[in-house]
Amino acid sequence: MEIKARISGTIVQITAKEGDAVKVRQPLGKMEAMKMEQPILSNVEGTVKSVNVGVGDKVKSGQVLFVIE
Amino acid sequence: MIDFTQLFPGIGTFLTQDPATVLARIGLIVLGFILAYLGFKGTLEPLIMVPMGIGMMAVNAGMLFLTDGSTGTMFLDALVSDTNGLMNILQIDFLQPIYTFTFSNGLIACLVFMGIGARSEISFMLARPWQSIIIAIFAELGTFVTLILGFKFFGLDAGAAAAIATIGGADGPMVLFTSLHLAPHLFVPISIIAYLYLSLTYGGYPYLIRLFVPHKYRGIDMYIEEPEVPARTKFIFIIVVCTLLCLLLPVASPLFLSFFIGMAVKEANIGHYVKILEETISYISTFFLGLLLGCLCDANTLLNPVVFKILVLGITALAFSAIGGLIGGWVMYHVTKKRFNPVVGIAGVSCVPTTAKLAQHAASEEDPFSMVLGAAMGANISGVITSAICAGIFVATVSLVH
Repeated sequence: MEIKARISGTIVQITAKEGDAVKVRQPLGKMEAMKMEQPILSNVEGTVKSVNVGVGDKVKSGQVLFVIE
Repeated sequence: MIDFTQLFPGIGTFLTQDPATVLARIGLIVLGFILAYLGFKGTLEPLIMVPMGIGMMAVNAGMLFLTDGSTGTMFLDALVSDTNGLMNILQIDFLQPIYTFTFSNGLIACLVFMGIGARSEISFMLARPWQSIIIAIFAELGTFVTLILGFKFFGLDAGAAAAIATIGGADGPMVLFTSLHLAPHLFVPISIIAYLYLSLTYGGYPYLIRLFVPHKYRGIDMYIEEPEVPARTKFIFIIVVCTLLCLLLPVASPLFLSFFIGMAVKEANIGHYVKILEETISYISTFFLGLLLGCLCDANTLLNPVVFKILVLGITALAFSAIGGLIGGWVMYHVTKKRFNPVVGIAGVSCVPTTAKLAQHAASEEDPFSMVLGAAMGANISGVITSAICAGIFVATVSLVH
C-alpha cells in the first residue's frame, strides 16, 4: 500500500522508519504546504517497507512517500 | 521672552486648535497605539498595523505652526493640487514623494498586487475551474449587498458605495485602487477600515464556519489525484486571460496586468523576478502603504461622519461575503452529491491565502486526515480574479453614471 502526498509541499519531519509497525491514522511524518503543517497519516495497518523521501524534500501531490505492507 | 507655544509647537498647537480637533488628535494617538500594539501582539496583521499605528501617532503628535500661521505637519499634504504648491511641498514633506507618485495613481496597490500574483498558484484553480469560480462568485455576496445598502439606505453616492462595497472582495490593494478612483475624498478611511477588518477575519471567520457548517460535514475529505497542469498551459492561460480582461475592462487593466504578470513570471520560472516581487517589492510596498495610511490619519479623518457608515458597511460586506461563500460551499456539496466540503466556501473570500488556510484548519480540526487545501486555494485564486472583475466593473460603470 502506498502512502502518497495529499498536496504539493515540503517534507519537514519523518517519524516512521523501515520495519516499523504502524496503525491506521498513525502519523508517519509532517509536511508543509502554503506555510501550514500537515501530518502525513497512514491509512492502513502494517509494516513500513520503504521510506521514499527525506526531510527537506519537495514533493508533488500524488507522489509516493511511504510503502506499507 | 520666547513664547512657550513657539518653543514646543507640538504641544503649542494643542493649545491653539479648536477642542474637537484636539480631542480627535488625542483619540487618534490612542487609536494608533492600540493598533500598533495589537499588531505587535499578533492579534492584528503586524505587516500593516505596526507601521500604520506608529504613523498615526507620530502625525497627530508632530503638528507645528507653518509659516502662514496655520497648523500642519512635515509628513505630507494630501490636499495640495496646484503644480507650484506641489513642488514646494515635495521639497519639505518627507513622505510627499511617495504619496504623490504612488498613491493617487494606484501604483502602490498595483505593486502589492504583483506580489500577490507571484505568490498565487493557478494550477489549483485549473484543476477544478468551475467549482472554484462558482464558489468565488457566491463569495461576492457581501460586495453586492453592501453596494445596494450603501447606495439605497445609507445615502452614499454611487462612487462611495461601490468603493466601500469592494471591502467585500477582501483584497486590501483592490479596495485602495477602487476608492482612489471612485471616492478619492474617502480613500483614507475606507482603506484603513478595510485593512483593519481584513486583519480581523482570521479571528472572526472560524466562528462563521462553525455557525454555518455542522460538525460532521467539516471533515469531508476532498483529496483527488490531480492531473499535473503543464507550465506551458498555465503560462498561456495566464497571459490570454490577462489580455482578455484588459480588453473588457480597460479602467482596471493596471490591476489585472499587475496580478497576472506576477503569476506569469512564476510560471516562466524567472527566479530573480519572482524573488524581487514576492519579497522585496511586496514588503516595501506593504510597509509604505501602512505607514502612509497611518500618516494620512489627521483629525479631520476621524471627525467625518461618513466614517461611522464605513465601519458598519465594511463589516457587513465581509460578513456577507463569508456567508455567501459558505452558501456556495453548500450548493457545491449538493451538486457534487456530498463529495464537496462546505467549509471550502469560505476560501472564495479572496484574502490569499488566509481564508484557504482557515478552511483547511476547520477540516483538520474535525478529521486530521481530510485535505481541502487544494480546493480551497482554487477558490481563493478565483476569488482574487472575480474581485478584480467586480472592481473593474464598478470603476467602469460608476464613472459612466457621473
